[in-house]
Amino acid sequence: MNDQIREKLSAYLDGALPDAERQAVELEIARSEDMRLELEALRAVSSAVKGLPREKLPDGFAARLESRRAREGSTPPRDYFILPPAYRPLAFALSTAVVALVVWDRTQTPDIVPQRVGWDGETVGIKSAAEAPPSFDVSGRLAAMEEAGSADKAAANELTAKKEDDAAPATLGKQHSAPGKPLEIQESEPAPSAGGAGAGFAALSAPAPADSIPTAPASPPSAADTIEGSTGYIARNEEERSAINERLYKGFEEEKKRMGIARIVDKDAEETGLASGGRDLMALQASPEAPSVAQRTGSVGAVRGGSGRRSSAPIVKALALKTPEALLAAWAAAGLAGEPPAVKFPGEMAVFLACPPGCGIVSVQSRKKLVVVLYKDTGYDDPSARVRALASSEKPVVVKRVE
Amino acid sequence: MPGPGSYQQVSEQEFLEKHSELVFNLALRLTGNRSDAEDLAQDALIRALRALPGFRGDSQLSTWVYRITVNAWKNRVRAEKSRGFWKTISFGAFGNKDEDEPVYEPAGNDAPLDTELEKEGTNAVVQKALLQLDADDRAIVVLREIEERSYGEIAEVLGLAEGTVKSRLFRARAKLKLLLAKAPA
Repeated sequence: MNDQIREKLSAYLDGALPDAERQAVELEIARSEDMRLELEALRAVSSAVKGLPREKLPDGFAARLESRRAREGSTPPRDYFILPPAYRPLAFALSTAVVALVVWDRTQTPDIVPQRVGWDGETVGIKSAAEAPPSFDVSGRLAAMEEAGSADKAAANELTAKKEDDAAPATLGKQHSAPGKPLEIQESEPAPSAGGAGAGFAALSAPAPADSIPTAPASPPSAADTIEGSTGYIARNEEERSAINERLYKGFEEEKKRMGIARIVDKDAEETGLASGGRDLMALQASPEAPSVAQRTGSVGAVRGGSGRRSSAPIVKALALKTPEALLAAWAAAGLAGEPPAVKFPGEMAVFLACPPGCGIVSVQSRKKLVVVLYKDTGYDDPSARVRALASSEKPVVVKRVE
Repeated sequence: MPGPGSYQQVSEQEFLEKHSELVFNLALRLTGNRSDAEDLAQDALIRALRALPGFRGDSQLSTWVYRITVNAWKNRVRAEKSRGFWKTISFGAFGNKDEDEPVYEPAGNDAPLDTELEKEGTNAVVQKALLQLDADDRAIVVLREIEERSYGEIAEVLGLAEGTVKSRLFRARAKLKLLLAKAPA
């Protein structure tokens, strides 16, 4: 049987075929008994459906309609969109995918390159330099600065090499360099060696190499010391991170300006070997117009670079010096007159107190895990009061002021 | 058919008097029971009344009302299917419903329909067979056979091409023939 003709039977039944097609169908019906039976079957179906009775409206239809109209009419129109049911599986799949993506993203280790910024353990985690705000591109500034001061950089490299040998002292500074005592903060203008006790103190207050001059570990930054939200703080989003970085950068720049720091001569402690317990990541060089060191010894905040509350307490640090050269360097850098007290290196080490004039060590307590240096701010005219010999150890040294 | 702009607005009362029964009967054949038919008819009439002020006579009023009714019914069918999906949480529900329905086969030597159609309860058998058609096919059959709409009007109501209506009507009739032939006496 011709399927094309069969498909036209339905339209033929409805009288909906053009003349030519109708004649072709009629010809086929006259010729084929199957086609005739098929047509009769379709006609019977059509008649059966047509035979379904028309129903009258149910009683009370109009009243119920009006009631429903009133009910729905009083309902405020929706101000939201209901997704058509056909799209709901797709929406479900999409939302699931989004949630999965977010969860996956959260579980990934963020690509954070820790850049320690500031002084004495004040750190802030920021993302890579490319993601940092342009104004905070420290590496770029460093590069420019270092280019301008390649001579000092070379000196720093030389220092690094020598530090790796753990032997000969390196000299970075023009004035305060001393055997075995690399100084991270250098003054380009020579400071008076005798009258500049404060200057020497300032130099020493900067972090020192760990292997030659183990220093007291950085005390945890207090709220007052830290830039708000900066210590160990990872911003929750890019805006917050940018805001923190901006604040940090401003504080950093202000502090640099205030301290007269012109340039940063080294940026990576691990590269140069200047690390001291992982804390000292920058070596700084003061500018010629730097204020006198005495001016800079005023507060913890001044040296630590924080933009928070300024403390009036002087900076005091105790250095554990294991070589005579280191002791001499510290002594000279502090601008102390005369010679340091004798210490029986290497069996002993010298505990050197870096503090403002008049201070001195009251006692040194070698405890189980650390060495505690008790000191007073005033009352010690003899500079040798800043030095105590102690059995050599690797224990960290901390200071404690006593009245 | 009156051209656009020549349409004269009818009052709500006039509209309801003329079309309520028509809509109810269409709804009855589409849903298969009076309760659902009344609910669907009310839904369609309320929608039509809301839209009536915007009707400009671009089509016959009856065609326009049929379209509203069929669309309201198709929305319900889709919602029912969706509820079925969420009930079973079965991704198999995405399959084409047609695949689960009897496959059309040529009548061949099936018994003549007349013997069954002439028996009591024929209407129930026919209505049951109608309900086994998919939505568009059922609407096409009802609009053609019961409401006696032309192919062009059916195409307008359902938003299909006229050729599509023609071929689907043939397919629906063939399926009905098969269903009625298999129906118990």
